[in-house]
Amino acid sequence: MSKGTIAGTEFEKPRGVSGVEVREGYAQVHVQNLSEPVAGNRLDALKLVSNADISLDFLKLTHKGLSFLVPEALADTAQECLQQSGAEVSVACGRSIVLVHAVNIREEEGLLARLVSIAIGEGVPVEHVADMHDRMLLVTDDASARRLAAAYEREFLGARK
Amino acid sequence: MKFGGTSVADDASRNRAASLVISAKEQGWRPVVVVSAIGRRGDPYATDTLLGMLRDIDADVAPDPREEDLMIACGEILSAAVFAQTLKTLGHASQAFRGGQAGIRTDGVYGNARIVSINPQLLLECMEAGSIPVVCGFQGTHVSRPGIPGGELTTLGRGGSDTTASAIAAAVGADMVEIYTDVDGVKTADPDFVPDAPTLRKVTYDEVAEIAHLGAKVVHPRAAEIAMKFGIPLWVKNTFSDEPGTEVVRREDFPGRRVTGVAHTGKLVYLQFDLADIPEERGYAIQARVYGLLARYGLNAYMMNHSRRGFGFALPKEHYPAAENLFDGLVLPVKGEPPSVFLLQIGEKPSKEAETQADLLQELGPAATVRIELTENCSIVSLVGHEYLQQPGVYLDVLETLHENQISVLQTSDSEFSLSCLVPEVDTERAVRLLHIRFGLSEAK
Repeated sequence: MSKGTIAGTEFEKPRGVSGVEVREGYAQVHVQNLSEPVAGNRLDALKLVSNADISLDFLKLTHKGLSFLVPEALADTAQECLQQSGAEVSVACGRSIVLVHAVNIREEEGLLARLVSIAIGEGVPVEHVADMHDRMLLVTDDASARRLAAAYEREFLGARK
Repeated sequence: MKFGGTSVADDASRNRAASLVISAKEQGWRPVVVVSAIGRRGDPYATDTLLGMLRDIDADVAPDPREEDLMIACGEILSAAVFAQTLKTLGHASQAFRGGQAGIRTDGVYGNARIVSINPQLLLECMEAGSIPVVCGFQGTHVSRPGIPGGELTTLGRGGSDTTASAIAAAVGADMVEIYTDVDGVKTADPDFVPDAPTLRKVTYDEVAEIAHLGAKVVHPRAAEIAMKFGIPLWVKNTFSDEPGTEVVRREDFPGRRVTGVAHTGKLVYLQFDLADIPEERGYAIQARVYGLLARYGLNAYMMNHSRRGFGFALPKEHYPAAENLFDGLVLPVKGEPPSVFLLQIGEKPSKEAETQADLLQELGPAATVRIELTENCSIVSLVGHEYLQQPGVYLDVLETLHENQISVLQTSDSEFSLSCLVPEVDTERAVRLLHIRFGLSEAK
């Protein structure tokens, strides 16, 4: 249904990586060596975190436990509430999220794998990876995050800068 | 007005779609029609059937993407010509246009081209003459350098006809885009799983993009993105009902809701690489090689997880044969002190390939085996929403709901807009239903 004209316009965002950003200020909480049944005890651990009114990101189920990311300011509270359960809890502060923006990232064949491959190749300890429709999110320590962001910019945005 | 495959599948459907176009014209609009290929998977002129005609010539010789694009574009060309003729027989002048004739220029990536510009001159002339243009969805033309005759036909990839509709709408300055399909709009869950899943009256671009990303068959994010960029209202409607449909809007125009819906992606496998007995440094080198191979061969991994004990990811089942070819029996030499040769093995028992490689490596000394645990028949069930998902206790609610109903969660993943759980495929429908109930989505609007 039409009423006018727009011609010779750019329509779509460029293919591939269009930006990189780093969000600092997180802590990774690890809960380990949960006793059997692990699935039920994971829920008990999450209940403690929920009761402490802490929101969490990047939940990952590990062999006998779980890990997740919280704002650094809440790391101590998270640790204290989880320790009440007798679980083995450790907290790694100074965590960052590296965000790599790329529209329809799953339709760019191999791009997600390439991004992770670059991270590992740079010696970055990858603690978590997730993706959504227009970005990949990778959790690592602050220093590695900055190094990785620079590597991604060199690799993907060098020509545009 | 874009009509999908089921809306143009047969005479009755096409006549219904044509009546909607004519009705719009009679109300004073000047409609531009975009059509998909006729029918769905398995139908004679559907994209996969046409592609099969090329691939079936010799299964061992893959066609070039250029010829694949030429072949599959025929589906939309047939459909557009038939639709234009249908309008003509109903008393309304109409002209069919290939993507290139409609002025759509793309980059040169066959099978997944992006639109770089549109010159809608011929469409505008057609409308000025009182005729209804019917444009082939999903295709455009790539002109590699000025002055060469013609151009290369390219296709736009998944959801390409939706993208065509939005882009044409932007180019001609349309008042709205209507995407017609065979459901009443964007629903809170797959109606095959949740028959009473309500149709959402409004969704934001981000919601619809994330739902599509996580497996729901709704309007393609590329189409929504173009409509948002140019400020054109976008509607998803049902060709076969009078329901009002779903309007896709900007986030700032809609306060949003706690949970948008439950999406699911099926037919996945999960590969877990066991590095528990491998020195840490070597473990990194193995990970780098594995991801490097995935990237080189264009395989995307989802639900990635990394820990000291190993790493894992999900792959679409259709990509598993390629991954199996790549990884089972793969020998990875890593610089440095022994162990420096690693042999990858899928499953507990070595395949013939892995066994043969192990025998051949004997002369170099024992190779360390990296076992890959294969979990077949998985799917991802995702709760989609915004901000609310990060509230304390939401993750717990999701996991508790599944746990209480004996659905095992193999892995989780989350982002700003979604919480996803990898579950056995056999439990997918139940998981979708349970989460739909738990989050009160039957009441969603």
